[in-house]
Amino acid sequence: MPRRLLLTTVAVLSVAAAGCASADEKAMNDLEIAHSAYTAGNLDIRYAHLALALSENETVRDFAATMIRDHSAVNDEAVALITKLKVTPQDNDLSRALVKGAGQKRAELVALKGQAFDCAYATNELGYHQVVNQTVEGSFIPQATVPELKDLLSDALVTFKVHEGHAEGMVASLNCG
Amino acid sequence: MARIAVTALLALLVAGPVSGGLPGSSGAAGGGAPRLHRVIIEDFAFRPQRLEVRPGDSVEWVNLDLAPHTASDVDGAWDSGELARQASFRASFGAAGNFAYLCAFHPMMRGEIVVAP
Ligand SMILES: [Cu+2]
Repeated sequence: MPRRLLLTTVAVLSVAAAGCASADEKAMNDLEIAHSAYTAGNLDIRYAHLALALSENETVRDFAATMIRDHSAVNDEAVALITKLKVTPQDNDLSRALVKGAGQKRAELVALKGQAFDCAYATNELGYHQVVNQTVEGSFIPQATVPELKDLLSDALVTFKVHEGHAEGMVASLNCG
Repeated sequence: MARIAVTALLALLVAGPVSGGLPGSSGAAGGGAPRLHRVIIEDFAFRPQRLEVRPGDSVEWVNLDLAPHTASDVDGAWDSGELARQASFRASFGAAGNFAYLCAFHPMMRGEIVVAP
């Protein structure tokens, strides 16, 4: 059992690392990290609005409302920080890849209904938070140089990890098979 | 420096009676002045998770997380509403008993106030 767990963890890590390496060969600067972290939060808020529009499942709707509330709070703090530092976040390859991927996923989700939508949304939320969390923890936090940005990312990661756990529970409760 | 320390101490002393003047703190018969206790909301948990107070005491919840939380009595007797980061909420406890509460946004976050005479 421990061995299987370890293998799964390694597989997820290497997928996340490969995703990062292909999107961005060199380390990102603070303004690029800020842009990508903000973009990732905004995209999850958009997924959540879609879920509130299309799902009638209470678990899914509660989760979506939490995503909007929590990611808005994190992004509000990010805006407060960039305003205080008087800087402008920089668009970059990772942000563009995130936006493109989410656009395709939304097109896929919007064509679904009922249980099919709920399962696709829940599964995507789990995968999305897994990849984003690996990136925040493995790349953004170690690469950020501005202490306030590092702190904000670390605080945000606490929230995102709880979301990942929630998403796991949501997928299990929906019996998607 | 010494003056600052004295001022801070005075501020602490003054804060004591103020908490006793909160609405609902009438049941201070347990002896001693009503006290103000603090529960920190951090890393998606209430700390301390279980808090023992005397009848008439007050409890203040302070959210230190980025994510908004609530402190909501499971029976609906009181509810902080949305607490943004650094926001706080106070409730006072008149009668003895065990009062379970949770975060309405993240219901796995649970806490308990034990009011013991
Ligand atoms: Cu909460």
